[in-house]
Amino acid sequence: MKRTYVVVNIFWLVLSTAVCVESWSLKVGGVHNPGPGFLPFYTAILLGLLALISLLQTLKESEGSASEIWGGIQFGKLAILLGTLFLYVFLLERLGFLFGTFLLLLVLFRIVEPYGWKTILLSSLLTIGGMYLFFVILLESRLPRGFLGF
Amino acid sequence: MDTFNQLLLGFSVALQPINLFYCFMGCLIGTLVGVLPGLGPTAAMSLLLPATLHITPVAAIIMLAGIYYGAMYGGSTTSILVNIPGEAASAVTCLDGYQMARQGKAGRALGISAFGSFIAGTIGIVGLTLVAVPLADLALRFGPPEYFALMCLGMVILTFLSSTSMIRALMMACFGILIGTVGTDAVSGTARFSFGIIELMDGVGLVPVVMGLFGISEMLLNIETKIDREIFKTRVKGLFPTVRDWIQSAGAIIRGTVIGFFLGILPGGGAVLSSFVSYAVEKRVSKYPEKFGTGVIEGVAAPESANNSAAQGAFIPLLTLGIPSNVVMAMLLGALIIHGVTPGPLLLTNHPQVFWGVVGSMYIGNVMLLILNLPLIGLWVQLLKVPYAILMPLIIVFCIIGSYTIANSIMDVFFMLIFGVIGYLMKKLKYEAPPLILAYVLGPMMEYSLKQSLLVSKGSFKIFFSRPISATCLIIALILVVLPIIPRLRKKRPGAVLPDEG
Repeated sequence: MKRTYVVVNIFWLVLSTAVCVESWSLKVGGVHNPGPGFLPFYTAILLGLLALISLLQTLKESEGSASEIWGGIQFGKLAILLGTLFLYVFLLERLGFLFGTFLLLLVLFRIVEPYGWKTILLSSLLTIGGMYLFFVILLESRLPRGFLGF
Repeated sequence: MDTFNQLLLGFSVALQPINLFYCFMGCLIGTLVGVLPGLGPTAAMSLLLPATLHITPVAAIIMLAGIYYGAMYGGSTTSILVNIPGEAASAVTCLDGYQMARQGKAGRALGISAFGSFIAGTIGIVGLTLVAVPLADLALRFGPPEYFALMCLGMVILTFLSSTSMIRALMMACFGILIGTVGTDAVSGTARFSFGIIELMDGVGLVPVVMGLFGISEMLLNIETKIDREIFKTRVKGLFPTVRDWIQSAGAIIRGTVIGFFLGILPGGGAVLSSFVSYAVEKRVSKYPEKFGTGVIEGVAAPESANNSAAQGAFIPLLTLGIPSNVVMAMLLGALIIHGVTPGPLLLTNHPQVFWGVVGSMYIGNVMLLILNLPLIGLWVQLLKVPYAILMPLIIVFCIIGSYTIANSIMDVFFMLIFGVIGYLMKKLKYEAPPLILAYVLGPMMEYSLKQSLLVSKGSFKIFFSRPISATCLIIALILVVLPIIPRLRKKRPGAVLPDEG
């Protein structure tokens, strides 16, 4: 656990440094004439200082168990879910809302609870039908049609 | 008298059929998200925000407001029957509510919760009605230094009340400010941190950020663990509290109402804080404090009254000053701006129908919620039986569509997923989201107020301390920042309140 927080605090330090550098290039200005980089620059400095304090506090603490944070996580399930979601976003405009979301729901229902395929198919069809009715028909939202044209 | 006439105007707006419909929808959806764990009012409001673009500003705010105070009613149902809070402000109701259910008193617990919420909510709206106009008049005298100081105070209070570490909460506030700077600087027109990505020129949208941090991250967390919901298997009957229940609860309801109202107004406060403080106060003043946690009715009446009056009180700083006091109000601020309505002291002058229409709808909404939560309680109990495995994919798809339909941009969905991962990591590492959200919403306004103040004072920070209101706010903020550093006081610092508020 201690190692995790050391890494996290180093991340904040790196982020605050990067923001400071970028803000400097935007022109920080002074108190008489603050530039666009004024607020992000000083906020990043404050963030860096806080990260440093947090890092020092973490180093003084006793070693904890990483399992307190990461214990019991089903990394496989999580990875599949995230991978599916990002892939869906990448392909949504190509596949279209109806087809793409139907495929997504098949995977989601399967991941969350391993129902039988009949249940999953039926649930996915009902869900997509309901969503189409609510968003496209009732709310007149414009959702991507994809290569199938619907 | 003028307030009375304005209130009549409000009722005339709220009673229009279309606004009545959206008020009812807000109350219904609010109760629904309150009943169902995993989706709080903030996430629900962010999901429905794109849908409100098709309706009038008044109807939109009436519905979104209804979701917020409706969730306060609905959250108690699942707390009492399932021992899982439907939303954060009902967490403390679990302590005594579920014990009452186990003793066969579920109906009385639900009844006192609903009636207490109604009484407190109504008193809260009366308070809002009476306080809003004088406060708006006062706020007309506010300048950039006062706004800057008030916003600083709000953020500091929220971080001070962090349940984990104030340093981490401050870091989240800084991170939120930095996210808020992404996009085009309003003063100079310079692109900041957009790295050539066109979709970032207008900044990262509020809806993807909130949906990601609250909605998607919650789904990612829930995929790890199986939520077992064992509904207390008893027929819910006897919803009307007995005379004895009323006698026992009267003081708790009144105290909860007052505590909730004032904590709701406070920047950084809100329904969750109010419910915890109210419970603690009730336990302190009780003749039998040792019985709290075993099923005493005051332990249900107090927090449920507090969270409802806080929900009403929280509208005061938003509508009169244009400053959101908590995360949910920050969402509403975003919604108002999207609809072209700028909340603040001029709202009463420029858009009286919006202000008084929302106030009028709250009176009506409270009555609707009493009906929804008592006679229809059986319906909500049935809903609790819907497997979470069915709800979760629906919520994810809802989030995705909601994000996409804001600007028909796939990048918004992408940002939502990114913030979903960030929110998940934040929850695992005990970094809290509310300071981030509040800072993200307030950041641009703070920057504008700061720059204006420095321009007026020709670069001197003395302007913040030479004006009484801004000086008072900043001094209190400084004290709150320094306080935890003092080791002796650090051990006694009240903690354990920060919510997700949604």
